[in-house]
Amino acid sequence: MSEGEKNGITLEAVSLFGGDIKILDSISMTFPLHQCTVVMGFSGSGRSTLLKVAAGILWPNEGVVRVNNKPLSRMNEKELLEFRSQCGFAFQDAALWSNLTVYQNLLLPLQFHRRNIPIEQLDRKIHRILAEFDFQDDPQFRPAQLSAGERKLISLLRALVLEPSILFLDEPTSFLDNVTVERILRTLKTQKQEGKTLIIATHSPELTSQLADRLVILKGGKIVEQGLFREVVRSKNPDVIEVISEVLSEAAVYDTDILELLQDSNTE
Amino acid sequence: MSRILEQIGNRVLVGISQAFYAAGYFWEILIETGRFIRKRQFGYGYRVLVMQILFTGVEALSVIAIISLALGVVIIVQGSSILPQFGQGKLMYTILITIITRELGPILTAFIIIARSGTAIATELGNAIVSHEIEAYISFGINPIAYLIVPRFLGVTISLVLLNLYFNLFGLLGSFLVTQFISPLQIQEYLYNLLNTLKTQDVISSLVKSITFGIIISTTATYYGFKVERSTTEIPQVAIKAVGRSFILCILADAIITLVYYV
Repeated sequence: MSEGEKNGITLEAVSLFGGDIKILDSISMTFPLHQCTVVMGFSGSGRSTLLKVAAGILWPNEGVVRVNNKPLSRMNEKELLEFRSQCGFAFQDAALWSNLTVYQNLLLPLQFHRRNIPIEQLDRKIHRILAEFDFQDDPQFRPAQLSAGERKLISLLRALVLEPSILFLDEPTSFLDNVTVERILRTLKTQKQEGKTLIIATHSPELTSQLADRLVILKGGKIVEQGLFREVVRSKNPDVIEVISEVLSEAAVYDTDILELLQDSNTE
Repeated sequence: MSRILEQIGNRVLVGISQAFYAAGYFWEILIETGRFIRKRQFGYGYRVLVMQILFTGVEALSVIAIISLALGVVIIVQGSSILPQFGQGKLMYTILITIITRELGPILTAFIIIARSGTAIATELGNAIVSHEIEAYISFGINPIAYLIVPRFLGVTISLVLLNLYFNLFGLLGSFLVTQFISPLQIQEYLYNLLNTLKTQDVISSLVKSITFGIIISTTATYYGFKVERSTTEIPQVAIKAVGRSFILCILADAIITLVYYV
């Protein structure tokens, strides 16, 4: 096992079933630390589930998930809590706590993990992060009072609020306007420069081309290709070409970088 | 024939595994409740507990008051008109204690809470699963049992005990005041006879029943709420199951406690 694989989240022959359906089928891979891994695939290919399994939110029916070579299933309560405090997860459908206000949604993780910090300090932090992303509505609103884009943004801010070292982002830019997407992209670039680990499931060529170090292509719950971004997009594997071109055609905005790379791979 | 036996066998095995799962779930609640009380977990859990007592206890006061009052009035009016004809006028107090304190107080309060809070809890948790809110708690390391279930478990149980006392208060004293307009009774005589009839055993049995029903209702409602897997159409189904099972379990527990105390 290489040093990179030891320091990261490794999935070994992981399978997860939803009833009789195999959502993830014998996935073996590593999300190396301090890198950005983008997971691409058609809708329903198992991208969100893969992220949740890697984050220890869902437990696989088969296989092992290791964090820095230690199986998640063998971690004690303290170790698991320590791992979770280092992770931030932005859900595809926001998954905000509907009975709490926007402010409370951001406060709860802070109150849970930063118990010794005075409430005034946490309060300042929340207002700062909301202002930074130009959140226009009242923080006392409930999630149901927000637009889909705003919910998505708050979900992302909730993932960022603990300043985690590993960020799991499930379609972080869907439903968002261009200005907010730009702001998020800037934030994620900063996170990457700071050495944070980014694991992103996305259809966005913009996000992929500007952030991805590694690319994982999923199809029908199986990995069809994984590796360095520039290598994967040049793959001759027809499944990879199909997924990337389909994903790109699904996206509203075409990004030249990734298109050029794809064209290169086709003409080589 | 062998196919039928196989199906029966499978059902039994599924039933046994579900029973073990439910027992494990209840054990987990007990452990987390112990931690909640011992460690005084951070404020959010207490906020949920207060809200649960408010919703289950305080908001049910008017319904409980009406039912207990009406029941008490009916017993007093019927008892004071029929029983003296047989020279058994004082039996009215025994009937009052038996019906209100021992039996209907705890069980009717439980039924009201099943209908109001049992469905609400199962539905709320089911919705939280479908909208991935539970996954969001897990992602932050917040144990959903500690922060969602324990406050509901304690909230429902505490509320049920308090509502039972309230039911008794209204059923025994409130109804006396209403009866004064129909068939006047001396307050001293009423209270003297009532307290003479009331035994410690009755009070303990009533309390044990309300605590047991509170535990049953909260555990059943949360257990079924968590049974939702992915679709919103499952939510009304689990709510119905939570209500049905809670009714059955409460009645069975009622019978067992009565047998233990009075046989």
